[in-house]
Amino acid sequence: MFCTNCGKPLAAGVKFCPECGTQQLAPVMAPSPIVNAPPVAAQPAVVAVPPPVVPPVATATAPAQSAIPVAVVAKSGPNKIALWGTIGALGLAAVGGAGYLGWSNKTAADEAAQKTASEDMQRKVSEETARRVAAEKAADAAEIKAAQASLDQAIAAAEARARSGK
Amino acid sequence: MRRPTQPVAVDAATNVVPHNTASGGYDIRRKNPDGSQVVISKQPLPDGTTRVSGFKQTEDARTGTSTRTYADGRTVIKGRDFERRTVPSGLGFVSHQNGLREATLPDGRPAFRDQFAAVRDQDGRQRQVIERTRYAHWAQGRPAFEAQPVVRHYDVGHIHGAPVAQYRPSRFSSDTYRGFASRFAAPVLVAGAATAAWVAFGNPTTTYEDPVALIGDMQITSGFEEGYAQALPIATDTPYVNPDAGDVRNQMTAMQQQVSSAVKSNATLTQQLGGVDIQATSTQVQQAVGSAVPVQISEDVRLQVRKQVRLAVALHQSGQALSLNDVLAGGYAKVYLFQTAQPVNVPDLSAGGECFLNTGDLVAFAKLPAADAQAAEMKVVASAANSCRPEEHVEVRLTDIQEMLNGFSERVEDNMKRVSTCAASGRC
Repeated sequence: MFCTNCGKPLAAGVKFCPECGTQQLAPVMAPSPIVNAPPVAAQPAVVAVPPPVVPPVATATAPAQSAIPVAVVAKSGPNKIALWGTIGALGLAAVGGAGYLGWSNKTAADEAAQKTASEDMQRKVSEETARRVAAEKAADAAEIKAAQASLDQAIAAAEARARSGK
Repeated sequence: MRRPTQPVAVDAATNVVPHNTASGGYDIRRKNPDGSQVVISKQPLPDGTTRVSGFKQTEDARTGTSTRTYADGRTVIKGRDFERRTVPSGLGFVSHQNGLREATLPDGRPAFRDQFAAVRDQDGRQRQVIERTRYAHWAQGRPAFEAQPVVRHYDVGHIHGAPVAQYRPSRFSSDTYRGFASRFAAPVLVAGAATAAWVAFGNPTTTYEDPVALIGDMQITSGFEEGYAQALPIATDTPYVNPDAGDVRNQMTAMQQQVSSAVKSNATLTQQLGGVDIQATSTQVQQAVGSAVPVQISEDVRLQVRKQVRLAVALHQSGQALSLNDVLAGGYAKVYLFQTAQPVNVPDLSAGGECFLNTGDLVAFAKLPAADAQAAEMKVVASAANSCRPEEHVEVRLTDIQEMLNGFSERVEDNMKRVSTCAASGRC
């Protein structure tokens, strides 16, 4: 099950969400009727009840919960309170599922953002290293060129001295 | 596994001492009951190979000397005011603290000897020089005696107070130099020994039109030829054998076996040594003693040596010495190649421990020396098989670097004489 407020997955029987502290409502924590419920197949007519309340997202993410109200409705039949309770529970489940989806989407987005930032950092570091190595190489090449020029000058000076006989 | 940073005791007399470098090298050191010490040194090299060397060191308190006998037959004796290095051929090179040097043949006779002398210049002024008299040189694995002793004079320079000889060339007749200022009248063919097996040029040349190019290549080949002749004697009639080197090798083998089995049977020791690969050493010692392979010389090196030959020829014509100070002050120290003139053992800054630079090996400054430095960090550019490897950084004393400059100038002089003699025939 999931927190009704923040959508965080919760262990069964938890009264308060450890994430946001919200008290968890009873319907969400009341799967016990299922235990003694007769097989769903025995009440095929009720299976169709109330499709508009269950958003497709909720069924997609939490199929186990979507079965709860079906069982409850099947047992209570025309009991309006139970029906409204079921509808409420479905609504809560839908909200919880949507919340969870939002939370998990947010987490995935955060992770993606972190990964991108890390890749950016790595790229920047390697670019910086490459720039530094290139700068060092260029400086080294310039030094070598200057040293070669100095050697050429020294040779020219020594040859000129030698020619002049000094 | 992490490597230890502190010595690890294998037994009461034996330690494994990691080198203080990132390369992962180490020494195995054992103290013998007689006070001597045997050291096996394993040095991972920049080219991915590993050098394993070993020596026995004995101290003589009476004479104040410390003697190292290496597994390949070299010895290095350090005294209070001298150092003597003997190569496997038995040739010995001595450098005295007062700046004088000498070399001795295996039988003890002098190959050359320095002394202080006074000479009178053309202007009548007297000056002190170091006079070197050469009686023999080493060729084809045996001494070749000069027809007459060859005398050369060196200026007395100083490097941080230490006297040092700076070769001042004796000028040839002016006609001689004319031959080096222009191209040969006809290409000169070089074959056989001159394109020596101990050097491999990237772009081998058999005919030369430029005398400086020919002398440049001769500088390189004759240097390595001399180094090989010193390290690996060819003559078999009276080969010199260092009697102690065999003992050192035997001790090294025994020591490695003992250390290997101790490490294998002792879990604590194995854990302490971590990533130290003791097992690998035993098979590598013989390789370290090694066989000769041609030294690879790049075109860049060749061209640089030719430039330096041009400088040396011009200085020779003016009768001028080239000092280390000249090179540093001239702004070209960064590109100057120094050719090892006499074998020298140097601290190996890359792999820890030490290695040898042999005659002919080429080194360059890795960092220009500070004003108050006694030694410089050099990078090996090209070297023979049993020398410090190319790209290794080593520490060389400035006085030894000056001796390299002297050796290069003298070798240029010798090669100028050779070329003057042989070029006319069209073959060198």
